[in-house]
Amino acid sequence: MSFPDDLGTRRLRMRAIAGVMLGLLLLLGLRLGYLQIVRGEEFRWQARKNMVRQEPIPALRGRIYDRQGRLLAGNRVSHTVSLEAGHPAYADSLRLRAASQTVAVRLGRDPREVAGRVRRSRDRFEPVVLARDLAPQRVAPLIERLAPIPGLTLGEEPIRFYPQGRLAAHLLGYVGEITEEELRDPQLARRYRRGAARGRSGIEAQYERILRGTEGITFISVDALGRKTDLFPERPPRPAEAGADLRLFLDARLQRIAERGLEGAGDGVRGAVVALDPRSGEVWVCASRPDFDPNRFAHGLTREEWEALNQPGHPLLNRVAQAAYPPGSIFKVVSTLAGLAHGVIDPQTRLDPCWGAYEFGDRSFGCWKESGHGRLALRGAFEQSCDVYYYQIARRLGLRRLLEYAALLELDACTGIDLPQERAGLMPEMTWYRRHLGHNPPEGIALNLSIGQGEIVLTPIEMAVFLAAAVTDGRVLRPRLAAVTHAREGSEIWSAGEPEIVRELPLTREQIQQVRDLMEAAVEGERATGRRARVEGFRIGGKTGTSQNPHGEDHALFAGVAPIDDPRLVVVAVVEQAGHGSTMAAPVAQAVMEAFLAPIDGPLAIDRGPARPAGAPAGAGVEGS
Amino acid sequence: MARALGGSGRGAARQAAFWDGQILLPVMLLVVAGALAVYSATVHGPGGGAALFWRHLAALLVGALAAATLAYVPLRGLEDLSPLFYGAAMLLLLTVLFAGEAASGARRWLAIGPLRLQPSEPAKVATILLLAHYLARKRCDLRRIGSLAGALALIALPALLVMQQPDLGTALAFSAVGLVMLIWAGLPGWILILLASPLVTAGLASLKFLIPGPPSVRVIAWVPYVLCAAFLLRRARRSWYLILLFVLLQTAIAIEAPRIWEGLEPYQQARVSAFLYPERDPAGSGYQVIQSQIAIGSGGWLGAGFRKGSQKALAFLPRQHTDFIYSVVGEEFGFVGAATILLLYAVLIFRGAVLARESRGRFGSLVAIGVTTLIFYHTAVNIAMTLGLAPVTGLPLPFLSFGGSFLVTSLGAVGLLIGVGARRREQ
Repeated sequence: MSFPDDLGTRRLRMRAIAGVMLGLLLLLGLRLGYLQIVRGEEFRWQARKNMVRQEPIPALRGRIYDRQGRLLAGNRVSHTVSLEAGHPAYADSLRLRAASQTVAVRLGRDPREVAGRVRRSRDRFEPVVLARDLAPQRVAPLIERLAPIPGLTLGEEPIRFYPQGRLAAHLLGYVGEITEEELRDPQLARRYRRGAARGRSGIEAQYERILRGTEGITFISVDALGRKTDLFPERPPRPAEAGADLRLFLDARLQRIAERGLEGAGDGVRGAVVALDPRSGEVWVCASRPDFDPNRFAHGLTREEWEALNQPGHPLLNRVAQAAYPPGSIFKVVSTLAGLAHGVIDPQTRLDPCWGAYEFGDRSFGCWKESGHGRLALRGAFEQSCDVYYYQIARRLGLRRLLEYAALLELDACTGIDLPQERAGLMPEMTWYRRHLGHNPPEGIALNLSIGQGEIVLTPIEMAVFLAAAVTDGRVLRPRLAAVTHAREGSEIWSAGEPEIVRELPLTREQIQQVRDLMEAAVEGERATGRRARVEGFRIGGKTGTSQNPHGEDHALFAGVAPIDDPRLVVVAVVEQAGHGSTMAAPVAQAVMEAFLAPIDGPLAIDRGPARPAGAPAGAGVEGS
Repeated sequence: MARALGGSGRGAARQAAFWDGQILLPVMLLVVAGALAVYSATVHGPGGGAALFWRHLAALLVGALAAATLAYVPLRGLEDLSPLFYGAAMLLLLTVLFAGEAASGARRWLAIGPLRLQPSEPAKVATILLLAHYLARKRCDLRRIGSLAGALALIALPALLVMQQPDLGTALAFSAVGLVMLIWAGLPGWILILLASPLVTAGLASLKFLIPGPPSVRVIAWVPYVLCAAFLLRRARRSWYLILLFVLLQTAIAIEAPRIWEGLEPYQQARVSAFLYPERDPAGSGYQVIQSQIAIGSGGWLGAGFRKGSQKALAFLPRQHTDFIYSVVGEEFGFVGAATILLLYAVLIFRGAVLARESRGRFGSLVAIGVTTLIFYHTAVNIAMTLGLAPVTGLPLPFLSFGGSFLVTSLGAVGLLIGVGARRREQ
């Protein structure tokens, strides 16, 4: 008989069982005392902290002006519709779904997608933005129709706005909402709230830190579902600090002329124009085609829009710094300098006459003019861009010396322009050929290279930076888009800053003068290929280029210097698949140089007048609405 | 107590009130405290309505009726009816598996018209009654394998059914109550060791998922345990063969146990790890543990005052009128109030144990210890959870938590306890 019927055994068991139970309860009591008395103060503090939610106040993004103070990028008011999923009316999730579907239908959005976003936002205790940038005329009817829906708010937030539309779109870049993927990066998550705008390309990305500003915080006492309560007196908010404004060296007028010039070359044109001041590296024009409207990005793109932007034409590509082309005859500047430096020619040297082609080995190298140029000296050869003359320079120099000289100039080094994702060109060297060919390169390559064809490719900005140095004092300057900005309360001071010397070209004063003379001849000469770049009343220098394109028509190039006797602007224009540089690219550059030399809206100095356009608010206001 | 022992106490016993004050008083105080807390958590809480409070009062009324009824039914009648109760409860548990209402991944409720019944609650009482009936029979001898297997089967059936819902916390409640009743009925110590060892070993082996570190830490805990158990078996004069078998079996379990952890539902794994490391997942189930501790801790000595708990009012407290009602008590009534509640439970539990000891009839005695254990288990696990000492199991707090089925069940169980107490002199 195991049952403890005798009282002694029962008492023992009862004491053991009750002892264990009461002992455990005592343990709970001790823990209770520990939490409430020993750590009570700490928990009281945490309880208070529980109840204050920090809500960001968006910072106004810094505005971007051109060198004359014209607004290129500002902010405007965007009307948003957001839904607070934690609203007490939505304790029942069916009601939440019904509400989000009603809103979706009114907004013309996909109800399933909207319901999904609302449901996901519920756990985050923050309202979810369902629509951004509503047209103002839609706001009033929406208020009327959606007023009965609890937790729905129509709000306002600043949104990026580019008043000039597509002008300089590649240069300015665009902003886009921070993505969920980016928010998973703790570094970014610390600096950006959900829904915040982030510069994605161009100046917007390059100067993101300056433009972004610092978000403010409002402190709101809330309950666990994020609903506002008035349980505690409000803590004063920390105001947002607007981002600093940025002033570019860009000239919107010249930019527009350059872009129109490119478009004049035909529908669906692809190409680039860059213009900079050779004395300071200030970039006046930075145009690329095809283009895009940066305003479209501000409230998010649809899938179709995004796919259209990633078409073969690559509208997002800034061809000034991200596309490289064979420089064509523009490279003859380098070949000339190499020939002069090695003494294989002098300005008076007349070489064998051009009959339209040059025989080397078992190959015939053609001149662009099939009827030939006859016997020419250096000046005439450069003026008429005679290829046969340059083949002979290449023969005299030999491939090694030509490559070594070109390498000295570091043509394919990134220029350091203040744009993200600048691409470097390629100026091959001997080792490069050996690696790619597997043996020593044949001499014939030198002939091709001497007229800028073959493996060599340079970006328009690289060509412009090199030429700027070659026609001034040989000092290579870093091209600059934005002025140094010191933003202080109420007043901004811009200064152009000192030109930044990257390196010096190994050129003598005489060689530089020689380049100027030759480039002048190539525009102003009687038989100049660059006649179409002439500007009345000024001496212009330049060089045409036609770069062979294995995929289609040749690319047309032109490099211009205005004026050549006192260079203040270097322009490089590229029109893809447009044939000869003389006919297609030179007029584009000419238009820019003409507008530059004959300004119609006042002096060009950057340190002039009020920084802002008249009528703009002094503080961190939002333009338009 | 002295009066209950000798024959001289008979006169006093006859005068003893039918309604045992040491049971009734703590239960009534707890019920009042619970009603206040539920009122505070619902009417003045985030729900913001009185409907839940009225439902709580209605459940209290039904519970009181159930308690009175069960207290007046003679023990003989309870014993005769116990197979019927048990059978009906098992049927309900089966039904809920197929026709139950699902909530957060588990089927626990049966909808009968406007009522929502949680069959696992009455099943606890039914199991206590039938197990008491089974163990009270003269033929029953737990040293015999047949008797023991029968008793274990009675416990295992509802536990396994509840496990399917799945509701691990309630399934463990059946096991805990059953185990204490077996001990009370004279389960020899060495069998207890054999029964409990697999669980202990599995627990120690599974620690590797919870406590990172070299295996030696776990081996250091496990090896002494097995040696101790073997020593105790030897002292109970068990044969060496049995001991060898025991050690081999334990080793096998220690190797295989990690698979048990992997077999747990992900939400159960999450709850256990959230219990051990609440800071890892402050938004998930760790959130509840953290918020509960913040609410209780902020109560201090005297609490924020009735209806004034800010954590409660702002709904930072999760499930505050049900599983975390003790946190509301802690926040609003402070250490003084919360410790008083603990003390009331202690009085009730001690009295229940005393009644179990004094009960002459074996059935009554077993029912008393079963009910006492049930109340203790729920109380300890629930409060430990709110204090951050146990994982979030979803077990309600007797007499305080909102929740009709369990409130009615626990009050009915108290009725049984009173009935047993009143008839403790009967053979």
